[in-house]
Formats: sequence, structure tokens, C-alpha cells
Amino acid sequence: MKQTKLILIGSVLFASSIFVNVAHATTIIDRATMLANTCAGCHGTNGISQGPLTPSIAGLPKSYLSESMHDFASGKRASTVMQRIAKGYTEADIQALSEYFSKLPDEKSLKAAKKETNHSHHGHNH
Amino acid sequence: MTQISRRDLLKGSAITAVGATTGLATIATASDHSKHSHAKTNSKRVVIVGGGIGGATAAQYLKRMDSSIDVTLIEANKDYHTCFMSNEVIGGVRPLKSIHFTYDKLAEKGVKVIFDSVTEIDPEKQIITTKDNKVLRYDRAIVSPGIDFKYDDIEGYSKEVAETSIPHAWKAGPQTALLRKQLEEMKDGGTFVIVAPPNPFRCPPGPYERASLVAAYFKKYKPNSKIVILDPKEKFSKFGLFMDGWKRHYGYGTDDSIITWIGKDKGGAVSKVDVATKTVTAEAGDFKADVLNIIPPQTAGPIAFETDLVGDLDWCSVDHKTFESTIHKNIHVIGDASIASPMPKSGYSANSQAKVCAAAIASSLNGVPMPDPSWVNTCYSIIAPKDGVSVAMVYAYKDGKIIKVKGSGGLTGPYNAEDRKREELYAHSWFNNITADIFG
Repeated sequence: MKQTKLILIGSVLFASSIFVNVAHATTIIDRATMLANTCAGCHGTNGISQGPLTPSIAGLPKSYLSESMHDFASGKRASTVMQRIAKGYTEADIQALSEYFSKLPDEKSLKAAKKETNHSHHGHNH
Repeated sequence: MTQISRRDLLKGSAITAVGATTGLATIATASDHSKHSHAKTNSKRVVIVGGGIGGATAAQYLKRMDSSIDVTLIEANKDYHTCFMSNEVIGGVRPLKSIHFTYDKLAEKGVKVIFDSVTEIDPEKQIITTKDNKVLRYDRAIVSPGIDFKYDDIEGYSKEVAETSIPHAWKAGPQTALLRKQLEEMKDGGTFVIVAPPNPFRCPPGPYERASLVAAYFKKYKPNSKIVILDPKEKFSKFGLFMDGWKRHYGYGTDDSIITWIGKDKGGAVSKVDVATKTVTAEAGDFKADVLNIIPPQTAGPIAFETDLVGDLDWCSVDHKTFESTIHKNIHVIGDASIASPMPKSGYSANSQAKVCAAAIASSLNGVPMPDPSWVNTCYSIIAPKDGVSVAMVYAYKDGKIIKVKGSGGLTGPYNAEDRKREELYAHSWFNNITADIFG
């Protein structure tokens, strides 16, 4: 507890950028990121797929992602590969993964952000 | 700017004493650059030996996890060809350039890429020396050397023979092109002989996918040609799926079958090759080939032996959570060269292991705990156009070992045309996505 107090004092004393460093100091990656990293092989880095068939999973609603995992595992939703993969996760894992991918920007918003950067000097085209 | 609430801060700081201590160190550095920044910078140097699937993935993900880590990747070649999908090049369905990748994007992301060969790793001094006499100090090294071949196990075979007339094509690139050229030039009615390796080896379903895709090529363009697989094993990966596929597509089991597989009990083990006549000697007798592909028994890459990362074995024993060598501290071994059983020696495994290893190193260099690791492997094979199959598995860490998660994984089910068509497209999606993850 003594160390915790010291950190708080430190955080108050120094510039706000230090807050990020302190936050990093707790973990470099969390369990959700650890799990999500394994999906990239098929579904693309950051959940954005290059195709031709495997779908992007970034930015989908959390409830849709968790329901899909449950339905793949139970066989309610037909699949080829995912019925085998979905059975490998606990409920906590599924919730963590669904939360993680739901918060990532989807393809559409990534494209929009890119367009915005490219045309930022025009500033009026939304 | 990431916003962290005071409550999060409290919660985070209190998780472990280790984390809190590092937090203090970070604050000290930020507050007094002149005093501490030098020591701090020098404590996060990672040197990666080998820019294949494992090495390149580890470089990318170390930077993703902590951009302040100084990551150097040492790779001998500027051009990389993936082994996966190289069977489609050999079967003539995709060009060699479609499996070609470079390290340009890694360099753009802050990875220091050095094209050079490592001559020595000193585990005591933590120094790596290269052919060009570069000397690099590391806090952590990642050795991802891939495989080497036991040419001597087949009398008459050698590296020189492999490069000029009888390719193994088990590292993609010039030999992939050579084997494709030989198959194109082969007369109709010729025999293609594949000598399969004993376990364990890179890409367990690979030799059988290769036979399948060449059979598809023969069926269409050289219908009188045959394939013989000589195998020292009793069975192989996806055995039932290949047997079923070969029956449906290539007449397997009939007198007209394009493919003949000769396993261990039928005398499939090969001991000798006569290079001039492309004749191999197996227990079952001599087989003369028009095009011959010998895939020799395998070991970890040479640097693993030179650094004594193998002990008495052919592969490197590692801690299953961090991939740190059980022989040398602060050297991690990933990919085909490591002993990560029950994970197979596959591209997906190497990619997945590299991310866990990066998490272990990034966490350790920052003095924080890593989360429980998780791995996935999915291996696709294409038996014929529009007929893809796979084996998949989710892995967890338990009692010091990588384990298969019970109830997960397994093989593609019984034949269903629509599903098989989809699996081929999933295989191609996987190729596009994993290569972007590694080299993009």
C-alpha cells in the first residue's frame, strides 16, 4: 500500500503524460488482447479482413459477437471452422473478446478517418 | 491522449508490487531524463534472429505492445517467400510473386531490419555477432531460425543437389520455382515421386497437399502421369480427409489412380538416391522418377545448434509460457525450431507463438505480469480446386504446459460441396490476412 500512495503522489506532481506510463506499468497487454491476437490470422489484424470470404469482426455490436460465438459452439449457427474454434473459450473469454472487437473501429469508419486526414485542409466535407 | 481516471489509476497501481515499482521507475525517468533515461533505454533491447513467420510477427507485435522497445531484426535475405500456399505455385494455380514479401513495412513501423547473417550468439555476455562484424547487445533475444535438413540421412542427397536438380522445395523460393518448372517440362505419362519426411517436420499436411495439387494439374494437363509418395510413416495429418479426397478426385484405390501412397508397412522408407537417374531406393524397392522431390528429415535451424539451444535434441526445449529457452536465459525460441507440442510446426502456430512470446518479453522488460497465454492454430489444405479442408485447435496453458482446450478444434467434417468451397476461400482469406499481419 505504501507504494500505491507513492505512485499517486507522483501522478499528481508530474505532467499528465506520466499517467499513461503509470497505466502501462500495470500490464502491457491484457487478457482480452492476448485472446484477440489469435484471431488475426484468419480475421485480419485489428479484426479487419482482407477477404475474399472471412469476415471483418471489428466494430460489430458486442451482443452480436457473443451471440455468434455461443451459436457457433452450440451448432445453432452453421459453420465450417468456427464451430471448432468457438468451443475453446470460457464465458469470460467470449465476453472479453466480444467487448474487445466491438470497440475497434470498423472498415467504414477507418476509411472515413483516412479520407478526413487526406482532405483535412478542405474541412467542410462530412 | 489516453484518459485514465483516478480510480483506474488506483486500481491499476495496486495490482502488484512489481507493477507499482516499475511505475515509480517510469516516473523517475520522466522527471529526471539526465539521470535515468540512458539506463532506461538500454534495458529494452530485443534482437530477433530470423525474419520468417515467427521473427517478423514478434517484431511487429513487440512494437505494438510497447513502441519504446528497441527491436532489431536480423535476416539473411531481403526477399521472403511463404511456405504456405507454395503448393499452389507448384500446382500452377498461383504465381511465385504472390507468395513474395519484403520487410519494408516493418522498417516503416520502427523495426531496425538488418540484412545479415548471425555468426555467434553469446548467451553469457548477451551479444550477437554477424557476418558483417556487427556486434549487437541484447536484453532479450528471440531466435526464430526455422528448419534445417538432415541431407545425410538419404545417401546421395545434399544441399547442392537440392538446389540444382532434386529440390526439396520445403523452404519456399528458388526451389519452389525449380520444382514447378520441372513439372511443366515433364512429359505426359511421367512419374512424380515425393519422398515424405519422418515426424516431426514443418507443415505436417504439406507433402499430401502438394501431391493433391500436382494431381489436379496432371488430371487437367497430363492425364497419363502418376504420383508416388514414399513415406516412412504409418499415417499422416488429415489422413482420412486426404484419402477420401483422393478417392473422389483422383481415383485413389483403383488401378487408374493418379496417386499411390506407400507408407511404412509397405516399405515407404527411403535410404538412398541416385541423382543422375533420379532413382530412389526404398525398402519396397527402387523407384525411378521423371521429377523427384525429396523432403528430408528436419531439425531446428543451424544457429540453434551453434548456440547450443538444442541440448541432445534436434529441436529447442522452451518454457511454454514465455518461450524462453530452458538452456539459456534471456533467449527465446519460437516457431518450427521450438518444441511446443501439442502445437504443430505450422505458420499459424509460429504467428501465434510469436505474439505470446512478445507479450512475455514486453511484460518482463516493463516489470509487469503477462496475462495467461492463449494460442490458436488453423491449418488449411487444398485437396482439389473448390475442395478445402482444415484442422483447427485452441490451446491454453496449464501446469507448465501448452494444452489443447478440451472440446475445441478438430478436423473438417464429411464431404459437403458447399462447405468445401467455402473452406478453400477461407484458406485464401487466411493467407491474405496472416501475411498482412506478419509483413503488412
